[in-house]
Amino acid sequence: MLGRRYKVAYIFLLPTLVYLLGFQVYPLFENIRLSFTDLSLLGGQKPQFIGWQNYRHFLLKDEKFWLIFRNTLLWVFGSVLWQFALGIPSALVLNQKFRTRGLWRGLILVPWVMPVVVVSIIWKWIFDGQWGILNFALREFHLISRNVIWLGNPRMVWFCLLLASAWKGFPYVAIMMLAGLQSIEKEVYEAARVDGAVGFALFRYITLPLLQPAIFVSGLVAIVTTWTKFELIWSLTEGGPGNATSTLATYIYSNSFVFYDMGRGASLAVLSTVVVLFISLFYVRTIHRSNV
Amino acid sequence: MKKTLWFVTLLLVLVLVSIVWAEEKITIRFVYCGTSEPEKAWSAEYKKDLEKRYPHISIEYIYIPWAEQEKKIAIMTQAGDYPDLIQVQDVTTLSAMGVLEPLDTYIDNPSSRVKRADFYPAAFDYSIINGVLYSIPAHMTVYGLIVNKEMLAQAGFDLEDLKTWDDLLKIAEKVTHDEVYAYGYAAGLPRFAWRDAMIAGYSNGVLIADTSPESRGRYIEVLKWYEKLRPYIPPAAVTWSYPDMFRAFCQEQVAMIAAGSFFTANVYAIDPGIVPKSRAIVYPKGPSAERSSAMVANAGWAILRGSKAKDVAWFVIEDLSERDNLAKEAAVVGLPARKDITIDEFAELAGVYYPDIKDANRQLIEDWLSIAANYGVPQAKILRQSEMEVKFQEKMYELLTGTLDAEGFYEKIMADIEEIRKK
Repeated sequence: MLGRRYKVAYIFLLPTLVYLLGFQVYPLFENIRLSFTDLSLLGGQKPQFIGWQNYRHFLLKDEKFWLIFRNTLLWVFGSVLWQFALGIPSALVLNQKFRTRGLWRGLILVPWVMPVVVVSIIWKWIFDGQWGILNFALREFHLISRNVIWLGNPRMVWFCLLLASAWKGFPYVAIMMLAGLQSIEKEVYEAARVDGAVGFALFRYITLPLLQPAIFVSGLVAIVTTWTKFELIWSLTEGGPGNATSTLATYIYSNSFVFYDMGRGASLAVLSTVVVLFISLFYVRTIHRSNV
Repeated sequence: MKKTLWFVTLLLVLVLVSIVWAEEKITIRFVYCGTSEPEKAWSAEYKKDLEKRYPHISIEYIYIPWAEQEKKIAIMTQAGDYPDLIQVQDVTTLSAMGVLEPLDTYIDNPSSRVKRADFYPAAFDYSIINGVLYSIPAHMTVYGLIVNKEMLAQAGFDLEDLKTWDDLLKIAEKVTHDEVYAYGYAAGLPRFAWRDAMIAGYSNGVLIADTSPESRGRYIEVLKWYEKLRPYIPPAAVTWSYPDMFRAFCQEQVAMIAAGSFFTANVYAIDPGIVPKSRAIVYPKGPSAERSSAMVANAGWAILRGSKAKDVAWFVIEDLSERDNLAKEAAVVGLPARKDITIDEFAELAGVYYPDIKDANRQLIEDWLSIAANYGVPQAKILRQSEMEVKFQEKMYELLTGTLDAEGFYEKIMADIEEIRKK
């Protein structure tokens, strides 16, 4: 009887299993296999097994790799921090009672649901060094006398990219935090007030600790999605000027689909996966330890 | 009973005929890269016309923009999905991928309706890699310097004053004031940063992929040329792509740009009024060249190696290359690759797409054809060019922002190109 029940369960699971095997597991192992070959679509020869050569190339020879790796960390952690810096205050505001709260809760999602390419075009127009709205506004207020080349200046470009990324991603954090805030019982605040906690102390000792589960989950999701987020940078700067804003995601794309070096692209993808896996594990263990 | 038998027999015959007819109708999957409205209109019109003339052939377009073409084809062919016909420009990468069918046996067949001699030699040569023909040109692209003659006149010059790099610098000095600059450069994207330098390189007798020690002097002259031009290029140009450069030209924020005969098609949507103010000339001569050269490329048609209907695909190429069909297609974006189409005839056809600037566009067509005839050389085909472009743009950015000098640029780019070539 039990066996039959399991059989039905397995039948229902089968489509998902087939999908996962076909579209997740197989490509993953095929990618690992390719990373040990010199497959190039321009070579005209059959790919040869070359061992760790591709990995050695990036880790030891390629002078750009470590710059790009550092860029990736800046991109991911900078974006996530900004998203939280905007998301938590927004959630606190939206958790208050005011007349048009429902409307604002809906409106805040606009950047998040907008297609990335549209967001990129909007920000490109804002930051454009020749015709950009930001330069126009700054000049109108006599804050600058000559246009600033926001996306062409290695010092400014990261500020612009992180701002665009934070704008796109903060609604997700805000909504998650809002859900977390709504799950905190009012009695906890009342008890804290009785104990003399007011203002920032309430936030520091009640809200923030009780939000931790929501921060943990949304933080992990934000790290992983930003790690692989590629379209925003590609549309705004294509990784330039030079390689100043290249990240591992754009570098994988360039190696695989601009230079057609599939072997090298695959090895970069493996390296990227390993690093993000390591960061996620470290993150999970740290949070877990702090909860214990 | 007899009537029923007759009816059944007739029905059977009809079914058989329709099966045979249906089997004979061949669908050609055609990758077309023109995504502007006039190009799409032309493609739809051509499909309708061809299917009317040859009812057994049907065209199914796959629209892929130029920027995506190689990537999409690489993925499709790796997955065993081969379209039949493809619109191509530079065939170097696709031929290195082994996805293009050599066309020599088709064109050299005595019954071929396409003849090598029909085309401008410089344009035709661009379709040949290592002696193998991979595409049949449809329209020709000629590169040169596009000048806003009114801005030049305001500074006290005319086109005749623009023969050498030194002349250009003298004019640049006068033209540049406040936030108006002399020279527009789309240095923000590798492809265009490289192309501009290719055009300048040809004017000084050097190919910027050339790593030979003999070319060192000429190469460094080209890099120093950009150093000298730096004060006359808008600072924002380090982030520009072609649309930005064309917009700046249309708004008269720059007076000169190095571009190609696709100029009209690109600026028409922004401001047609710029065309009557514009003239195309050969890029002024560099110090080491006896005379300037203008690179000539083409866009045309190729057959995918894995196509199951190669003969029909070739038949369609022959049809596309017929004088009238080719002229109509070329009139949308460029210049005809065939020699037997007169300027009058071509300008008239182009006037259909650019009615309000018909005469001005005719002048530009004359300019481009004259550049091609007097200075045209086939554009070099460089394997792994897109990888070189990235390295080149990276250094050009440093040069234009004053953090790298010409000698330093040269040493670095030579090492990069050599390394890319070793692959």
